[in-house]
Amino acid sequence: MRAGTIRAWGWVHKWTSLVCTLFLLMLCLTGLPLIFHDEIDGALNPDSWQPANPAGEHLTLDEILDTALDNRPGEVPIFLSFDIDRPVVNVTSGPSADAPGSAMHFASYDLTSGNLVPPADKGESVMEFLLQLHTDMFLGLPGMLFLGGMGFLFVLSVISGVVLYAPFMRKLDFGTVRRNQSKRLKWLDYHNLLGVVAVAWLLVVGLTGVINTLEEPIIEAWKADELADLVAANEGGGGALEARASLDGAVAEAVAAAPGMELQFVAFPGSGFSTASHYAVFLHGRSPVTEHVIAPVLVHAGTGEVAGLREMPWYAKALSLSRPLHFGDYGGLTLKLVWAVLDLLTIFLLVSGVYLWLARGKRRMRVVRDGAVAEVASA
Amino acid sequence: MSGRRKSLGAIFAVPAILFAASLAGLIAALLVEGGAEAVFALLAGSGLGAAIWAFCARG
Repeated sequence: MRAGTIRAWGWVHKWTSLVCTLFLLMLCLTGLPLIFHDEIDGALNPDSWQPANPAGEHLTLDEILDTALDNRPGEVPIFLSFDIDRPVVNVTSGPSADAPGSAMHFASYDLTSGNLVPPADKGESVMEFLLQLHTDMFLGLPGMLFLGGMGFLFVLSVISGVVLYAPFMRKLDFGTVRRNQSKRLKWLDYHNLLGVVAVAWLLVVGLTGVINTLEEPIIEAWKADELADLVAANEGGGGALEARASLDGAVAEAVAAAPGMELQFVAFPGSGFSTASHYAVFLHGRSPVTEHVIAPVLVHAGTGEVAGLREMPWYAKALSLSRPLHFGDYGGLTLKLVWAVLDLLTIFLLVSGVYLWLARGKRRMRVVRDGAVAEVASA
Repeated sequence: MSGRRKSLGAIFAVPAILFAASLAGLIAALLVEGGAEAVFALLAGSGLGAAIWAFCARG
């Protein structure tokens, strides 16, 4: 590699790293507890709750919905979701179906009795604070896109670091750490070694992080491009709802329309994820790969008839797969521990990178100072 | 330290293997459920094993 080429890559590595370092440090620090979100939740909220009738028959979704609405007079249902490992249905309601998040009410119901399930939300405010800081720094879409830009710089920094690894290692064996030479060389060797062994993880987490910051534009594009015709074709269908068709019937119709998939959540008519007159029943695959891939089925909320099913486009699938690949919460505790160690390793790379930059400045100053002293002495 | 100038292939041989192994582990852990998950998780962290080996053997 020519000296000029090395200098150019060195410039890219230095500035892409320095610009994103502080934000990456924040992302690594806030990301660390988020890896263990489930474990922390479980420890803070021991699952002492039991269903009222563990062996009893489950109530219908319509019965749960009626109970939920009786508890919230004047409100309408917005979303319905399900716990994975408990017979619990979660009902989100609000003053109107398009109410903002701050006006929504979330309640969980025992599917075996219809009783309210006490919320397991100890420590949740801390986790939500960390997640929000990690996602958009409380700045909404501009904050997300800004962090996406920082993620992009980080990816460039990793790529340029790999390019620069070659000239630094021309005469060194893999894994060499020159502990007996200068402190800066020792730190440089640690930085190079730990950086190069983690390249795959750094690139995967960096790139999926960038994709995650595009969540809002991606979902909007999906709704505008792929779902628009489905929504437009069904928007006027049936007009105002005089009577609500059975929710259980609608879910059964949707599941029958998408064999091999299972229920994830229901968006009610008028909510952000449906039309004015349809239940949008969201289903997901059953295998580890397809469980992140969802497909909405529109079912007319007046007649209970299926209006259409639309699979996710490639860019929405990429977003779905980016979430687990970024947070590392898809492969059990061993993977989470690996994720955490690599997260700590990234913090070391960031700190050592700044140290190497500062130490380089000091070395230059020493060379200039020593040169000046020599000139004075020889005068 | 080897003293001789190395080719690109020699410089990147071990990092390329670690890159492929880690990437395979990260993706396989997403595709597979059950006991093999832990194996793929360790494969995803194979770079960490290599770094520990380097500290012990080369340090």
